[in-house]
Amino acid sequence: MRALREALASLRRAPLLGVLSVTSIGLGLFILGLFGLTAYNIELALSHVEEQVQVVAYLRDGTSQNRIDVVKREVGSFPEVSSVRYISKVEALHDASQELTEFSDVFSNLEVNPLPASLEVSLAPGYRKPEAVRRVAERLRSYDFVDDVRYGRDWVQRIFSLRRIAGVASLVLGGAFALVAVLLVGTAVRMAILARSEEIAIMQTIGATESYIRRPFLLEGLVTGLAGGILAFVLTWGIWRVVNASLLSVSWMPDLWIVGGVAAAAVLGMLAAGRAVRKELRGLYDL
Amino acid sequence: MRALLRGPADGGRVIRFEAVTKRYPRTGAALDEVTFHLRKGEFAFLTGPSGAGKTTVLQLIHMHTVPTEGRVRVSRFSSDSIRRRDVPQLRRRVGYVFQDFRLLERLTAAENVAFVLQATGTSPRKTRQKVQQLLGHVGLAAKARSHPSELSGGERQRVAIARALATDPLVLLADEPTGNLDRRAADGVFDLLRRINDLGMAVLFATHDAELLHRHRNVRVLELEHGRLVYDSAAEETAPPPGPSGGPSPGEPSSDAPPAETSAAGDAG
Repeated sequence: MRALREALASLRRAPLLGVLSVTSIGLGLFILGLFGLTAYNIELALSHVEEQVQVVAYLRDGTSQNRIDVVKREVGSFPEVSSVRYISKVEALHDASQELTEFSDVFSNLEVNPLPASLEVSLAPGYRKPEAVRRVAERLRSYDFVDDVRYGRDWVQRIFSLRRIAGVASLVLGGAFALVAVLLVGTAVRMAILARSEEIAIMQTIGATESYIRRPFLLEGLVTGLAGGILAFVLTWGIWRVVNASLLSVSWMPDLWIVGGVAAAAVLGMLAAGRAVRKELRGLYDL
Repeated sequence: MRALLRGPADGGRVIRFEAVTKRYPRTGAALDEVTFHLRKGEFAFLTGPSGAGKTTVLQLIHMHTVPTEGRVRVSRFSSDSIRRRDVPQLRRRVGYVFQDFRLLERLTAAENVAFVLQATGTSPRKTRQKVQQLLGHVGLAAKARSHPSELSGGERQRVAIARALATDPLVLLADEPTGNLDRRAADGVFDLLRRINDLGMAVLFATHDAELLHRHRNVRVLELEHGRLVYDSAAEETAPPPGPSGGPSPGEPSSDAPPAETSAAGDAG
């Protein structure tokens, strides 16, 4: 209780310093928040595109329905496969006439349906990579009633490369932004503690234990970090609202990211305070 | 006040310097084989020109730093065995008064004193009682609610003294406590420290105020020069007491006797 009272009193006593600390922490984390928002949306977009990764096996005419059902189940049990959809010749013609309306006359006047039946195989997350796609395609090709297999190899390769670039960029940029945020939190908290170094020295002179001296500062760091984290959240949310309303549709980050980010800011504030006080105390001793 | 003071330290000696040398890496030797001791209830001036090593002596007693060679013993604590986590305990037995007062400006006189008691785990009720008692003792009961900026230099130093007494120390270290004060205020602070000493608390008063030394010639004087203890008035006397109100009790060994102990002895309280 004493520590909490002291921590809050200290923020009340030097409101400008408190505001400055919270603002700089908030801005540092805001940059990280914007980056998180961007990275999350790129990830969403890539996942959406990846979901389109399909392998289509065209079947020879005359393949029995029985056989098709057995193979459908078999293919559905591959670890790489999330779902298998059978499209009969009739459905294929129907789909084609729906999608290619300009040729609807041609389709309606056909005496023989030239379109083959097919199996549309969707891949499970984690297997939408060129190697896995090729493996599934090869296995489909090995069935004697499969006439042809298509899966847009170049396209899969390109998405895969894009994902790798996005992953590395996230790691490097995210790491850099996180580092900036950590440094800003550390500096802001250290500034606040330096302003009270005389108080620390006096406490230490009169025989206060180090843990007694440290406690209010740890709490102050926690409160400052928390406030900075909340400020960053509000700023990021504000920007998201503006962009969403006026520029383009952007998804908001998962709650876990937000809670984790704000909690991390609070913990970071506390750790930075602990480190700064330890440094301050060490300077007072020669033991 | 007397009730605030604790029992005698090891053999009546509160502070013992045993051939203490302190060298700093950059500035070199600050103290050179200094040996002396201070008994319970003794009052001594520690004097010498600026840079002679007075503050180093006080810092060594306060275990702000440790000797390069030799040993400092304060009550049951010894510089060669003290752990960092024990230092707060030591400091509660050693009050420290600074030339520049070092009061927290944002706190009132009473709060500056109470702050120490809170930091050392005293209950709020006892803290209130003790603050009142201490401020009364230093003659500032009426100014308990004043902030340091509203007090004169002498009054600030009195608050600092009250704060230093809050933990019932065995010894009070005063580092040029009258250095920032006019003659009258300085005399007032000196008289206050003498009154505290009369109650049985040892006082080591670092000063280079020649007039003060001249006017109190019956007080024990330890004189430092270039880090060496060049004069100890107690050593010149054949019999105790070395100071006006201190000195060994009957039956105790003379303060002039060389320290025979080699290990940390029991706590004084």
